[in-house]
This record gives sequence, structure tokens and C-alpha cells, in this order.
Amino acid sequence: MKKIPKIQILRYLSLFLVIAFFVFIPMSNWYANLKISYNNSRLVGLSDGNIKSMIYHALDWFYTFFENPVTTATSNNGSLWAYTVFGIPISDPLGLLSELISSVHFPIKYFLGGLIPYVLAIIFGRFFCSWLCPMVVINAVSGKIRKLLIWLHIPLLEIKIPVQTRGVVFFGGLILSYVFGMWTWHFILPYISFTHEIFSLIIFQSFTIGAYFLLAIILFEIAVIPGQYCKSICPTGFLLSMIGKFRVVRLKTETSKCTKGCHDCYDVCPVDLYPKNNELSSCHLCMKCVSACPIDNINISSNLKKSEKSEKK
Amino acid sequence: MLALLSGALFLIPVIFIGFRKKIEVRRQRFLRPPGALPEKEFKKQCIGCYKCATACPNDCIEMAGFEYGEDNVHTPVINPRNRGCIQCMICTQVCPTGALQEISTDEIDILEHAKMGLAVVDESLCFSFFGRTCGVCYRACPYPGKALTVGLFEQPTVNADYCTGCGLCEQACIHMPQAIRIVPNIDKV
Repeated sequence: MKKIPKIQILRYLSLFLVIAFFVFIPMSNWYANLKISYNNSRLVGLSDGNIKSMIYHALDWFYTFFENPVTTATSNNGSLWAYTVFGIPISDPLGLLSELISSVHFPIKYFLGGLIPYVLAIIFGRFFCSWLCPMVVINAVSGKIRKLLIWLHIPLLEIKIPVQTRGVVFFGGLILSYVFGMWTWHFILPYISFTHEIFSLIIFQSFTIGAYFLLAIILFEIAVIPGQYCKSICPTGFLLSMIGKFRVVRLKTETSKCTKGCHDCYDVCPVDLYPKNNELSSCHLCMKCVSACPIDNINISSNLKKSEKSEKK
Repeated sequence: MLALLSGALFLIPVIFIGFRKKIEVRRQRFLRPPGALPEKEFKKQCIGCYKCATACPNDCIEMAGFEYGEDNVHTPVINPRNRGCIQCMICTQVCPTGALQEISTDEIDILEHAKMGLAVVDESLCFSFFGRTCGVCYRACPYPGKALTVGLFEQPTVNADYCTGCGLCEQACIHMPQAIRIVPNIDKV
């Protein structure tokens, strides 16, 4: 049994928290609506033993820690495009750019929320892609299924998509959203579809048509393009790696210390980069190479420290 | 070259829906939530973030599927036949992009800005026009005596200055098919 490094456990925990948060948001809104409209447990009590009443009582217990349960519950709202965490608005960087282009209009509430991911992208680069994006979970599951199918001797394709595709999708999507004057991203980004499905499942008890697209992407991931969506199609990844080109925090290897013929870091990298030669253009900071390195040669470093040192010299 | 080709392949759904928008499509009648911008600007500014649908205490705002037209997918709609709007204006306060313009809970403000549609009475269907007094729509109306007034045998008449098109009368109508219906503002344009 292979030991899972601590930082990976932390990463899985953060992914789990993100998904749990997007399950929690619609539930807490639903709870708040019940609380406002009836303000007693009589109507909830009518459906005792039901899952809904169980959720209601669990959330009722949870919100006793807060002074004002209803306003706290309604201050968590939205999906990955634009959401508020306890009153703090956060919005998707790609959605923000597209909003600016499709409607020449500047909603201040929305753009203030966009500042947080932009600043984080300048500091950490594409860390969103492996620490917060629900697509990682989809990728991991479809990878496991693919392995199982190969083990069962079912022939599967593997087509390599060029990395430049994501640039085409990014600029093409922005241009199309301007030309058609409408929102275009719902059918291209599976992580948005994923959160939308969770929402409509809880609030409307049904799937939306985005589910077909999500299913198609998962099937493609299993059968045709294993693990290549994040690497070469995702337009958000393109945007984040453009912003994070001169990011502050990055991984660094001292190539001279490396063992000859060792490719462990290359083998584990989910986006086929080569940390050994410091080729880390679109690094996710998933830290897999750090824990895979047999001599602990890959370290986290910051640009700021380096510049201070060079000034001293 | 290959990148262009594969990129175009992934943009096919967008192109498909974008071109479908220009063709007249038969679709189900729907209302936009209160305070919505004119339809063209609304479609540009709405990002489909589900905030209004989650915040709606009446669960009347639903996110559209294909039945409301391909280009309206993932935008908030109200189907007055299922459930009408109770005029709480919470959706307008949570909207991040201003696709739904903010409206206060003040009655004058609501009557002025929250125009979703207009109720129309079909006199050939309504019970009250055949001598059977009903008056259900009058009792469902949030502005009784202003938006809806009743005369002899509780025959309803709509006052266009006060009617916001919330759809509560259509939801309440006991005649099937409904004798009072909302004509959405977006269909006029």
C-alpha cells in the first residue's frame, strides 16, 4: 500500500469542501425559505422521517451557532459563476471577462467579486485547477473507469489534442458571445454544468440539459481523450495560465542535483509538464511531483524572495 | 490548424444555439422575473448563476430548459400556470450583474418597475360571464381593487396601470383552460 502524502490529503479535503459547499448552498437557501415562511417546526414535523425534514433539523442545529440564522443562510448564495460566501461575493474570472464583452456594462457588485480570483491567480497561477475545480473529481473517476475497462480488454482510443485548442476555444467563445449577444459558456465548461446539476437536483428535483453535455464529456474522457480536457480544452485554464505567467509562487528544481535518468516527476504530472527542466508554464500546483521526487529536490519558491536576494548581491 | 479544427468542434453547441436564436422557434410562454431588463439586454447580461432561483422563497423561478426555446437555456423564467410570483423582490436584490434591476419592497416602486406582463380575461371562458359567480382571481390578486376590479356576478376587469403580471390569478383560476392569462411583456416586442 502506497502512503498518501500529507499535502495530497489537504488537496482532497479542499476539493471535498468545495463540492460540499455547493451542496450546502441550495439546502441552506431552502432552509431559510422554510424558516421565513412558517417560522415553526409544525410544517416540517408533518413530514417526519423524510430526508427533507432531517436536513432541516440538521441545518437548524448548524445555524444555532450564528446570531441570525435566516440572514446567514441567505448570505450563502449562487453557483460557481457568481456566489457569495457568508456575504463575500466571488465570481468566475472567465465569466467576468465575458460579461464585459457581451454587454458593454460594468456591474460593480460583480466585478468586486472578481478581484479575489484575479489576485489569487497572479500570486498562485493555475492553483484553482487542482485545488478547487470539481473537474478534478470527474477526471479521477473517469480515469479509474478507463483503467478498469482496459483491464477488461476493451479497446479504447487515445487521441492527443493540441494544447493550442484552449486558446481557440477561449477567443472563439468570447467572439461568439459578442456576435450572438448571449451567454455562451454553459455548454463548454463541465465544472459549471456540474454545479448547475447539483443545484437543480436539490431545488427542482430534476436534471437540466447541461447533464447531457456533462455525460458526453465524461464519456469522451473515458474513451477518447483521457485527462486532456483540463490540459488542452478548458478556456478558464487558458485565462488563468495567461494571468499567472509571472506568478509569485512557483515550483523550482535544481537540475544539477537531479539523479540521471530519473523521470518520476514527469510520470506523475497530470498536465505532462517536465519539472526537471523547470518547464512549468501551466503548472496547477498540485504538488504531486514534490512528493514523488525521491531526493526532495523540487521546492516551492517565490519570485519576491529571489529579487530581494539579487538586490543584495 | 489541428488546434483550430478541434477548437471549432467544441464550440459547435454554442454556434448551434446562436443560430437557432435567429429563427422563430415555437416555445412555451414564460415570464421573466420582476425588474428584468428588455429581452435583448437581459440575454446579454444574465449569466445563469442560479442566484435568483435559489433565493426565490416561492420556488416560482425556474431555470429554463429546451422547452422555453434553445436560446433561453439556463436563464430564469416564471411559468405562471405552475406558480405565480409573490412579489417579494428578493430575486432583484441578489442579482449580481444587474440583469434584474433592483426594486425595493415599497408598493409604489413595485407597481412602477416590476412589469412582467398583463393579465387578459377571456370572456368566453370565464365562469362569471355566464352567471356563475366565481371571483377566485380577485381573491388571489396581490392588489385587489386596483389591478383587478369585479363588477356584477364578480366579473373581473383588469386595470393595466396597476397589473404587474405576477400570474397569481392565472395560477388560481379554476377554469380549465384558464380564463385569465398573462400576456408576457417580452412577447410584445
